[in-house]
Amino acid sequence: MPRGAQQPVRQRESEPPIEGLDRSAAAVSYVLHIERAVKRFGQATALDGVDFGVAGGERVAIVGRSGSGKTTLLRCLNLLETPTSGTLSYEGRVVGSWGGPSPRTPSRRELSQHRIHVGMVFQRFELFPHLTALGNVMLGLRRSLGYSKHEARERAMEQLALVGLAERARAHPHELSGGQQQRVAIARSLAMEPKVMLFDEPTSALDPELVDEVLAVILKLAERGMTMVAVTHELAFARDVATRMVVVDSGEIVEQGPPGDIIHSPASPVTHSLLRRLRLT
Amino acid sequence: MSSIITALAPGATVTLELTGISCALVFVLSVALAIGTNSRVRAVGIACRRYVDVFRSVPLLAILYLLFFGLPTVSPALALSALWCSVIGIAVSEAAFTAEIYAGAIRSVSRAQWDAAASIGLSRRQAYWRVVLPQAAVPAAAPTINMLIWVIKDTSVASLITVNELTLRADSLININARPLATYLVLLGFYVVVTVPLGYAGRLVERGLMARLGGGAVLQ
Repeated sequence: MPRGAQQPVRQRESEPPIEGLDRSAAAVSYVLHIERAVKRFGQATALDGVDFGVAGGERVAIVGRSGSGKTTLLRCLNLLETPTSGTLSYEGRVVGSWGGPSPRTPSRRELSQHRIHVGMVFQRFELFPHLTALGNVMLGLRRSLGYSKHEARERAMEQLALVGLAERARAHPHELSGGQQQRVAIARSLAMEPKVMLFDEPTSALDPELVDEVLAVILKLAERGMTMVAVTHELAFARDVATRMVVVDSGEIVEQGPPGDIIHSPASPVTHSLLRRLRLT
Repeated sequence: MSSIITALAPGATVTLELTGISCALVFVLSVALAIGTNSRVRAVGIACRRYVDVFRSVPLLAILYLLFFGLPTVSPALALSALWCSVIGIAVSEAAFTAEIYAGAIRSVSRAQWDAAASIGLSRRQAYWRVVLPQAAVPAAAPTINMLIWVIKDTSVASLITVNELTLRADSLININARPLATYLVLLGFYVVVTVPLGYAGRLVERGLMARLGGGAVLQ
């Protein structure tokens, strides 16, 4: 697949065009868009010229084997990784541009703002252990959004109630199960009122019986129209929740399209073997 | 024996004074150096590391002599009291050791915690203050008590630049009572009485912090 070319979108003739993925890039209003993304770590190339965008209301599942670059791609979207080259835009405005003739690095304030708009949930939850669940959710409200203690507490309790953990507000992370911790982590991100939520393998670190409670919360978010991008191994999530599935391998997007299509009849041998492996686990 | 104790007791006040001020300075300086070592500004990082290298290698007594006898020769305005020379000398010397420990404690907080802090829009400074330093406090607690104990012992070196703390008082007393063994034993006793409870207190603090944060989660 030639680099930099518009990634082919698999569509069946009988189906209406996938919203937001029109042929002409200009017609698409992506909420979040990264273009020509290259990321190198020393000699290793994690991303090799990736174009990826997500439109409002879309739910994208990114799949790939480990080392494929899928997590790097995700982390570039909220700039936890700075691309070696490429351009990142949010709601049509360039957040940052690297490499190239006129690079533009976001200021610290712009970075902070961007991460408020684009939230992230981590594989290992990463709650702050010295704070209660309530404290974890309140921190961003108070220090990034400037809420007063009272307002922050109110809003934080709302978010905890949303994820079903209001009664555990005073618990510290080590007193909570993995599933509960992840739900608090989701509440923590949600509290910032992001436009896009990024999930980095949100259920990979969970015992199987705890996966459902977290997927239920993510589904709830989906029903409320949250735009999301999730790196996941859960085919069930990809099939049931995602509106688009993206297959990444060796730092490139190999194919993308409706999850049902790709799972049912993958075009690429990479996808084929990936799906086989995911189905067996 | 009791006359020796009574004679030395005022020195204990001075020793504790020296200890208190020095510890506060060591703490502040060490935290600043530890953060500086991890700074993203290259020059700051290098400067802090150089500081640590230098002041870990120089004997405390040499620093005290430099401050007490050396500075006034440069300018009378730089003539600090023996007490302040001691406090500054001890702080500057101990901080070089404690900074390394604090830097290690900061590094022990996982990179992912920084990511999590960034992901909710916290600036680097906010991340340090609200997320990283509170967690670094746990592995830093016991070494901080050790620092306190070292500083108490360092104060005895101040006797050599005329500070009338416990050790100097003991030396002076021996000139009067000619009982070196008894006097020095009492002197040791004073130091033990102060430092041993501190050791226990340190372990209590550490245990308390671990209980609050959940030991397993922090001791990675």
